[in-house]
Amino acid sequence: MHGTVVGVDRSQLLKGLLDIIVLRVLDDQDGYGYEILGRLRKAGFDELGDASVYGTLRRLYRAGHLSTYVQPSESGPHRKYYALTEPGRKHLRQMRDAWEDVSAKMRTLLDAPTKG
Amino acid sequence: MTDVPSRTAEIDAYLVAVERHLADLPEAIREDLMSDLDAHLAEVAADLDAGTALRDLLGSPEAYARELRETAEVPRERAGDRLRRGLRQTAEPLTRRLKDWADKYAVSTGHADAAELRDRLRPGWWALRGALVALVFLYLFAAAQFNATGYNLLGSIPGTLLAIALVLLCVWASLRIGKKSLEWGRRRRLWTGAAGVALVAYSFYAFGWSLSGVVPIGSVENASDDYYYDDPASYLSDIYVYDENGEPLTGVYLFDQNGDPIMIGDPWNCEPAMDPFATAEEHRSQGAPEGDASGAFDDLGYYQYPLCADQAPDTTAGPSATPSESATATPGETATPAEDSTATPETTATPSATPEETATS
Repeated sequence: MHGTVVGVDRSQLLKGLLDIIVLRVLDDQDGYGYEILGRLRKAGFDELGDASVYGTLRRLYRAGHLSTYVQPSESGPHRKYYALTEPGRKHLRQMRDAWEDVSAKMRTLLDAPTKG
Repeated sequence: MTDVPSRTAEIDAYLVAVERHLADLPEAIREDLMSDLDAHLAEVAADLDAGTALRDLLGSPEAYARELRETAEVPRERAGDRLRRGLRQTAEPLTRRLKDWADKYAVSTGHADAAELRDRLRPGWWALRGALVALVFLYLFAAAQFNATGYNLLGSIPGTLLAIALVLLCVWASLRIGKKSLEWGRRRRLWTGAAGVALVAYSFYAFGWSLSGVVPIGSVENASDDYYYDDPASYLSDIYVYDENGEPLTGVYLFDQNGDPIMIGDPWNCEPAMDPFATAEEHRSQGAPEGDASGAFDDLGYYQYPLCADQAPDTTAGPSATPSESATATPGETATPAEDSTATPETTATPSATPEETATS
């Protein structure tokens, strides 16, 4: 039971970070939906589902942070690849700064010796 | 490759189920999500082993839709904000043009821009607002007091003094409120502005007659009489018919060119209240004179004129003086000799009786 609660809390935490996670993964290399999920799993974000990634991709695309192009694949249907746009890169930089700031403060706060 | 058609059917079924669970999302977002989901699911399915179902990997369509909604849904604007933003965007070209015109107008009057002109004009508006409040109050006060709108309260010296005092008081209060309102919040100022607009609108409604040049002060005393003069149909209460010898005719029916009975007048208006549903016979039995065929209604339900036979047309018959006077003039002349003729035998009988009396005595 405890394990599930931790899982839920983690996925709630990650929800706010989905943008930065997906943007950062795509900053390395363009990717298509299911493959991006695989990269995230490899990076340790096991609790992220396919729908979360797909929904985030669509939202970032709507916001103009991502562009798409279609590439044929040998093994199956055409694949829609997502790539960062210039606004997307800028958005990633800003979010990264914000994250660094927040995480530094969180680190200080959490590392401070507890009283009593 | 044999499983391709079944895979497609599986994807389609999954898509339909997901879409059903997204039905409440804004249309644009749902369409965007769904437009690409089939391709995405096809990508996913391509990597699946033949024995694995789509929902084994992705979970139930419901859970998938929930997850999708949580990540894809943009923070929803409240309906009111969305509507306001939409209206502002629609009206934007118009408002910008209006602002340009207002600025040009203000500049041509020697002010920096419309905002400055507005600030200059503001105390004037406050004073006008106060004066209007006073006038509306006086107007309603006069209406309540004398039961007549448009009564000239300024006709008397105390009335004039009262009016001036009230105007000064209201202007003072309005100026004070105006000065204070500069520090108010947006919402409160909006309400004040709305009240001002309503006041102006009501003033136009109440004092519109003075703008049209027609001042109804003179007709206040007999305003109700004037109303009846204007409307002859409502003035007619009965019809009296006379023959060529000036004899009053009773029990007359009137018909129009179509043969329909003309039923004007008001039988309920008769002095001895009639039962409007009684027949002529019943009227007679109710005490109406036998020879007098009066009965406002006959068996057919038509009006029989005159409706009120025992009410001789005189000055009290009509609600107004002028027409009833002319009505009494005609029958009055002819009626008098008729009365005289019946009276004469009586008077002649009396002297003839007197000798008999004297003879017997």
